[in-house]
Amino acid sequence: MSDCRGRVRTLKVKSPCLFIGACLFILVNLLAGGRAVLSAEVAGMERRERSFPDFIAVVAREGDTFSSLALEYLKDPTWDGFLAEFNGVDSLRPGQPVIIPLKPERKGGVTLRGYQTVPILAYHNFSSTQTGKLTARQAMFEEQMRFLREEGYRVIALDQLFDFLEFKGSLPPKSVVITIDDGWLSAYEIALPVLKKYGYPVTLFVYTDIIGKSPRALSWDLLGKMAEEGLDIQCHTKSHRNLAVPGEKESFKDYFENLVGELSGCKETIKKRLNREVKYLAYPYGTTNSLVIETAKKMGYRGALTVIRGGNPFFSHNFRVNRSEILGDFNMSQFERNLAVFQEQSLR
Amino acid sequence: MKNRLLRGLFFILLLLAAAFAGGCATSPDRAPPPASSPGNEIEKAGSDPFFALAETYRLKGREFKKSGDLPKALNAWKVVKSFAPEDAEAEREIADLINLIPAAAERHFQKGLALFKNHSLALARKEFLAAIYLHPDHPDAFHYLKEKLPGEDFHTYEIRKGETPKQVSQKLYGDSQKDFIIAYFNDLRGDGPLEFPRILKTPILNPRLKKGPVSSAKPVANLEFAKPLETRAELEKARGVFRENHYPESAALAEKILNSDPTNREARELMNESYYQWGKQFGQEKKHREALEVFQRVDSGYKDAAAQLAQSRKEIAEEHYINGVRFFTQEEIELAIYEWEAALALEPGHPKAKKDIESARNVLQKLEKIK
Repeated sequence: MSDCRGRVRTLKVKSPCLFIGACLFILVNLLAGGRAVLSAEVAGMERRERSFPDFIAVVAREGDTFSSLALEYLKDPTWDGFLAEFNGVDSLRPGQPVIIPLKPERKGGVTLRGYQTVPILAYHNFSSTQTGKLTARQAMFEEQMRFLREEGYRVIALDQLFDFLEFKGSLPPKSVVITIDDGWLSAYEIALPVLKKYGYPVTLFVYTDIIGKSPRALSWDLLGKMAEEGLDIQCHTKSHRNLAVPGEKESFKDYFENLVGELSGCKETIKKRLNREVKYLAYPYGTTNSLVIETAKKMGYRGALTVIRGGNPFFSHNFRVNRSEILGDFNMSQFERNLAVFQEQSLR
Repeated sequence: MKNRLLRGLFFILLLLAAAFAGGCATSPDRAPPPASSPGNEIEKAGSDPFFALAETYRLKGREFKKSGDLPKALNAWKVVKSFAPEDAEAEREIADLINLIPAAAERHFQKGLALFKNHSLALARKEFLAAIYLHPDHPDAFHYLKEKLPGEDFHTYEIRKGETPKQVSQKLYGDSQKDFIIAYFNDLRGDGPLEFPRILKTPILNPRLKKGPVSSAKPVANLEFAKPLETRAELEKARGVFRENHYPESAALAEKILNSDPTNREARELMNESYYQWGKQFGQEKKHREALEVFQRVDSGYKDAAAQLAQSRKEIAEEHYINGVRFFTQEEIELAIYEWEAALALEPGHPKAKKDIESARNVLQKLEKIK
């Protein structure tokens, strides 16, 4: 302390100009002080935040985005759009205070501008070299999956979608579901490694008559292994017949009995072979009618999927869920057209 | 003297600096202090980077309420109150909004209900959505959006004393032999008189599956769709939307009239024509699957609906057939068979599919022998 006083004294004695200069230096520092302290907070390790029961208020640091804040506080970067909307800004700047609601609620995804829709992508077969209408080439499939990640889509499980459809939960704004139909081996050999790489959940709809019956189809052993790994396996009927159209020589009674057999046979076989309860049905050829729907309901299915293109708002019919087939000859722009996640409709 | 001067200058500079530093903290990007701000607010602003945030949300709360976005206004005021628990304006606004929101939601719902009864389905949906936006837990808005607007897949039928499943089947399906459907969906056993009173639920059968015209089913008193309709006005409304080429809506309106009055020939004609035109529209757009589904709803014998239906099937079958050929040339023989079987299911008389399946199966057998 005395040293300090001595130095001031020396300063005063030696040069008044130096002393004035020192005062100016202090002044400049003080003038910049508020900013300097804030900058240190912004760039530094410690984030300024205040917690409340329903939200946290934080000061954005250098490099923060709504996506990074959503990841840090909500454990899911795809809530970024929700945070931006809540705060009424498109982007962040360092030092900007932001509100982060801790329970992001967008029940049904309804806003005054419209409502959320969830696309379901339907694939069938995959090939490393060839493309067909129902065969996606491996490279293209990888590009499509990468596109979903890079563009901030969140791939969700079919159960989550049905919770949304039953108004039980909110979904991140850019949610999308991936499904694969039929039960071809290529789903295991080509699609699954790509999906695993990105950590995307997928639902496989199999028709049980094909399983283990063709060298190009999945076997029950393999399906069992996939189920053990957490893959969701659901019904695509027993024989893949068109459920909505009776056969030419089929009486109505036969048609109905066969319909019951298609829906129960698939469900029971999966239960017996894989010890998995089936909840969902993908209609072969995507076609259905009221009788099919009521039969599926009666058997305890929770919902069923068509191949009518379009996303699904929360009020979609559980047994007429839209699904978009991603055809093998799609380019990226055609793929992107099947990813609409919002339907504009002014509610004012 | 000189020292005293310097000391004075030093103090003046320090005071200036302190004043400047305080001013800097309330920088221009911060919101102006609130009308109700107490005297120590400037001091608070200097130390709390969130002070301005609370004020920003105060302004947002006022704006949202003014624009009618009540849930966002409520959220904004909750933020203000969290930062300033004693804030009287925030407390007042929150209490006000908590009362306003359910009332506004109910107004939208009632408006939606009136529109729904008037068969203005698109407008009804908008009102139900507005009710949900305001009040996500509205007891009925979700039910109407989800269950009522799309229409139902089943009949509800109140049994009359002494009725048997065959009699009910005759009434609902115009065919007493479809009683097994009624039994299956209602867990009935035997052919005798049904338990009374009871309400049965049984699927609506696709028109093309019906053998004859649907006979009148006794309306269930407590169901919305079964209430007597002002048929003439409803029919005019349905015709109006049909003239505007809104075929799905006119078909739905006509079907609702038929639910109440199954013998109404004009409604049946309008329903058939709506589905017919809608199917043709899909056909022109090459959406053959959708066309197939819609043409299936047209009564058999109506115009050339049967031919249109067959054409849609043929188109889809052809798509499958071509896919099969493509697979075959790519040596994906199982997939080729799969596609050809799909073609055959849709068009059992397909000129080539059956033959190609046989050939493909022969190829597969030979390949397996080679292995």
